[in-house]
Amino acid sequence: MTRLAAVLALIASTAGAQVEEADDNGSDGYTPSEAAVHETLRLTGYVDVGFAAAEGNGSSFAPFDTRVPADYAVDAFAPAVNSRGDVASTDARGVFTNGFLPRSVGIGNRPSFLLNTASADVRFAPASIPLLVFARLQVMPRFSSEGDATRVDLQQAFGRLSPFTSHELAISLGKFDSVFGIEYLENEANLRTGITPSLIARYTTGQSLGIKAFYRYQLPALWSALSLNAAATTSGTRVEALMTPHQSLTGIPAGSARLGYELNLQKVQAKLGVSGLYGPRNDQRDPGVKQQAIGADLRLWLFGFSLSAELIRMIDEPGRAAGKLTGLGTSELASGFSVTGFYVTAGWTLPFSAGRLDHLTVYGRYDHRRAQFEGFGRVEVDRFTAGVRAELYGQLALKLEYLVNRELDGAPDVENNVITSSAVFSW
Amino acid sequence: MKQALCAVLLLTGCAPPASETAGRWPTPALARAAQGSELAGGFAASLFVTLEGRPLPFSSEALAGADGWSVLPAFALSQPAAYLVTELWEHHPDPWIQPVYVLVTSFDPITRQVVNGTRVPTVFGVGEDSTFYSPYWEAIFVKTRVPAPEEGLADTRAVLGAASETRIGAKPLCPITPARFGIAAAPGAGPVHPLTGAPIRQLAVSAVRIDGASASYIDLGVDRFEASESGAVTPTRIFFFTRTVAGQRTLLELPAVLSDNAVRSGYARRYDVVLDKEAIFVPAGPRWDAARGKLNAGPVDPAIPVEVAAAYALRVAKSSACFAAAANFPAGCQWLDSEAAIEGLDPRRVIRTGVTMTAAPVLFNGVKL
Repeated sequence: MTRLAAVLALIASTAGAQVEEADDNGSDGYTPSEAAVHETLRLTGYVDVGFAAAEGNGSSFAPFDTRVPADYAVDAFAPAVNSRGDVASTDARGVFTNGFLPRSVGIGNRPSFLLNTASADVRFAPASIPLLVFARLQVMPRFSSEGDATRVDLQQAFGRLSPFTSHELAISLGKFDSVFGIEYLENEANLRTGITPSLIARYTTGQSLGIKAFYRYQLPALWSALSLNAAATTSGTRVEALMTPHQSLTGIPAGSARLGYELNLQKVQAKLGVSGLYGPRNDQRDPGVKQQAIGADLRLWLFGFSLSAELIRMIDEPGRAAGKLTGLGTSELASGFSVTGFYVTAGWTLPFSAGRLDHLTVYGRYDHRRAQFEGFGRVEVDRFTAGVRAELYGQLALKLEYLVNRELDGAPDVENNVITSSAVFSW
Repeated sequence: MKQALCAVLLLTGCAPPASETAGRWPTPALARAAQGSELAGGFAASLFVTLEGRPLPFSSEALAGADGWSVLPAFALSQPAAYLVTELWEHHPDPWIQPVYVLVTSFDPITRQVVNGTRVPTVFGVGEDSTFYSPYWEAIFVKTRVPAPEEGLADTRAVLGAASETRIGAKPLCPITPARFGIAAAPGAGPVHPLTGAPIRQLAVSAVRIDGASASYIDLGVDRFEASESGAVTPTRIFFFTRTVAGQRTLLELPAVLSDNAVRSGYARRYDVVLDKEAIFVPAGPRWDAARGKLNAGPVDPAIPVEVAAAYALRVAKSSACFAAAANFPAGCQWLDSEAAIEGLDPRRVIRTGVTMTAAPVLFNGVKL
């Protein structure tokens, strides 16, 4: 409660900020007028309320599979219930795990309402200077066997400078979104068509802390543009449950970048990109132990149909010393690891609206992931996802989704399908 | 200041030093290291694995007839003992119990599945290449809906997919080994204690399936290690004697001292005992001349009976005074040949190291294991 009260106070103080009056000489100086501030200061956000039910015990762990670490032998991220990728349960029944777990809402196989996220964005972008200041604060009420486990996360906080009016160049400094692939663009529940992230989102959609530059070069004769988005950050692109973004454990940043091409016609848009990542693993302290990844992505919009796909190949070198540090705590060892995965999502926004219903979209996604920890058996899983999204009043998205998780190789078959829903109120 | 400078020079690779490198050597890795005359955890790997045709450690002339674990002499509870080192770890987290799936037709009594007169292979959950490989297992007996084929089931997924009923069993110590392996011995002979000549029981490899592949292991028996409730294997102590030479602690080629509970606790952490005024008993006779020179040991009464001398060979005493007269030997000596005796030393001379190992006794308190 104390954390929630602090968050609300922050939002209230920001919204009702009092500003000093202009100097006598009529110049705004560094203090814009109250009217100008209110134009350039925007507060937005959303509340994501869900209801989810998972099969089995809500986790991917199988009885009598006592291999350790337990999280090396299954895909613990599979039974996701919300847009954050939180799962129904990570209960390994007391079997030792080694820092390859997602965050959990802890409902197990008991259906439950969930307040997935309460999110608030503050954006300040004065008209007179090419500067943007942005912060996103999120609250996730949770409960665990140890009591209240509510989390408050300053998911992003950065300043962005666009120094040239004739070039689309933006330099950001702070904590910001990933630059790898395209799925990070749908991290937030109000932006994501469906509910749950893909099986490869854990590698590509994490926020991190550092410096980023974005440049887009327009090719108007081809109705196209080329873009380069590059970053040097503490952790790279993995989600914070796997690598902390808050500091560099090695003293060396990880570099990531995406080179993209986009085609923008009236009825058809297409985007293609290739991405890369290289730098020290930020779940251990040796700067000589590397993480590296390559990826490719594609998005198409044609006449109400959308298709997006992304592919990644990632390799982690084995840590040389004991100790592994992630957003969930300290574990024993940073093992060598490799993964190849992809997803394909197709959606169709029905060409009608009725009354308060603005849009109705049906979608499906196929995910495939094949991963292996050093010396452990390979784990191969896939997932079929189907769902529907209804947009009402322009501010409310109602979503319903069903996930069929399959273990193809390595991991024992378990019941870990999920049915989940989400109501996202945007403001 | 250095850290701040490094933070600026991002592209130069300037970074703080990494912590101690973790190393691990299961038996196949020890064999490869022995082949390359490499070190493992500060020891020569050839001390633990003797390759065919190479000298058996602590034996004057005997050569190994085949690859195998060296029988290493030790003392425990003031008696000669012997042990094998099957795995070694350095600056590595303690290992965890892993599952071994045993296919059975009956739980009571336990009756293994047999096809064409051959037992269906067990299935190990994890192989030696994993950073979390350990030779410490928990047996899970599995009845399957249909009998397994002769080659067994490929992996954990196949076992649990075929299981109709399971039951938790005992905890055996089973190191993965190369295919042709055992306890190192002279050609045509069985393994023996290298100092006393006491016979040691030879062991045979068995077949196992791991992640679709086949491998070999040797069963050293059940109740040979201790673990916490969460499954982390807990170490006992094994003591090695050292001397400080030119400021460096140097390992001496002497029998180790096993802890009193070594039979029930085969996972041990190396503790170095730094010798000061203590003396090493090296028996008289040409067989011991090389050892006497290496260890800088003093003379002993040649009247000490040969069989008595052999039982006390390379044993450390607090003083050499009792070596001088056969009548006073061995009762007049205070020996460092038990955990209790070492605990009586100045604790500053007993140094905990980052090396742990599977040190499985094969002779303890006069009993062959």
